[in-house]
Amino acid sequence: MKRSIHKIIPAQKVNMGGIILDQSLPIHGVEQIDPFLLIHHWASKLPGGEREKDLGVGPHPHRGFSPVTLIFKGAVHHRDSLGTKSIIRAGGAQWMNSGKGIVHSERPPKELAEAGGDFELIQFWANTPANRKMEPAKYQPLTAEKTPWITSEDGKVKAGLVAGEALGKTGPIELMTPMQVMRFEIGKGGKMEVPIPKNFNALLYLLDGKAEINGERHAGAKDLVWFKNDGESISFEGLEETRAILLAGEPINEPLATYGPFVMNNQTQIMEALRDYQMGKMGVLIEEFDS
Amino acid sequence: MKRKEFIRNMSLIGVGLGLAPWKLATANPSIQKFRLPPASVHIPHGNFASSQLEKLTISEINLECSVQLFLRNGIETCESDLIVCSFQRGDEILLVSYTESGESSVEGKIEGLKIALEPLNREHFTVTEI
Repeated sequence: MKRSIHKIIPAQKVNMGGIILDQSLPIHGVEQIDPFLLIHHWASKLPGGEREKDLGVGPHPHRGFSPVTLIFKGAVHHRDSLGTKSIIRAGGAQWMNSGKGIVHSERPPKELAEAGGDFELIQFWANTPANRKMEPAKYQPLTAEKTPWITSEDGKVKAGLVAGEALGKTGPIELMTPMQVMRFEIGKGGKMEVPIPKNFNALLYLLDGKAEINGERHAGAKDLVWFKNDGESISFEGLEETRAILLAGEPINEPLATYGPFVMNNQTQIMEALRDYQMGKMGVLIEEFDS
Repeated sequence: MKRKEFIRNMSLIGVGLGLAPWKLATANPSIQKFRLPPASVHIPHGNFASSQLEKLTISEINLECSVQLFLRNGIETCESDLIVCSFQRGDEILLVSYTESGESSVEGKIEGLKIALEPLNREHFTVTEI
């Protein structure tokens, strides 16, 4: 049986320090769809002739959750206080468990800043259960080449399995809690049914295009489709060329305190995170640039 | 008469210029009262450190103060937004946080100083050397 649709939520524009993003989560009255806390879609055209250090998001801390970046156009240069320097290009992902604390930056790489071009990513946040929030931070890169890809029977849908299990494949990311994360390139008329464990909360976000969901309702660009937990699968058909992601995960069901870059269980823990960051306990990131 | 008024007014201006705008007079001279700097606003994501924090530096006691407003959902202000006043002297940090819904907490301390937010409008704080 297919899951029915609970709600279709249009994204809202937010301003993150001068960067304009589409935010589907949180929204008014919905702080999280457990374990997912935030969905930001950032698309821009870089004019070129710029320096890497002037673009993107500079060093900032995180604690208590996994910020995950799925790259759709261009590339993202990730640097962190563990010493990681990693450029992942379109089709890949950067999965970071922030654990007890990490400082990282996310910028378009030098070549893209200089030459210009399209830059598009989705960052979503997945919560970490309380008993694992203070584990050491870990960064997991995933290129498009190492992502398991699945093609629909009609050959019109290409699905990348980033994490979890689906359609006989297993995603390469090591997870903190059971989850299923997929990305789809859906051609016009392309159909796919995706099984999802019934106890997972499930969301489908459309980056662009238009699709019919479960043969029931239409969703368009920057819509978030939130499914009920009343079935074992979802299905879609592309009404246009459409790109989408599926986020599904087992809820954590714990108290939530999420402020700025930290996701903890109460306000005191947020204060401890702020203090630890200010005291340098989350590490230091000094970025080096060629130009 | 006009000359007297002129001299008095100029003296007041002089005294005014001698005081930093954030430092306010108090009845008890052992308690110093200051205006909090404007808050830096953060939404959930990664602009935390990239924003320029507006800091107040009180050089006499080597104290730095900043205020940060964390919007709970990034879209609009609400009662559970978190306001954090950060006081730092060297390695010592005191964080005082509160929400409009009534939650508050204090984390850390600074030896020899008692720092308190004004209970009513929370636009000012007092520092007492102890």
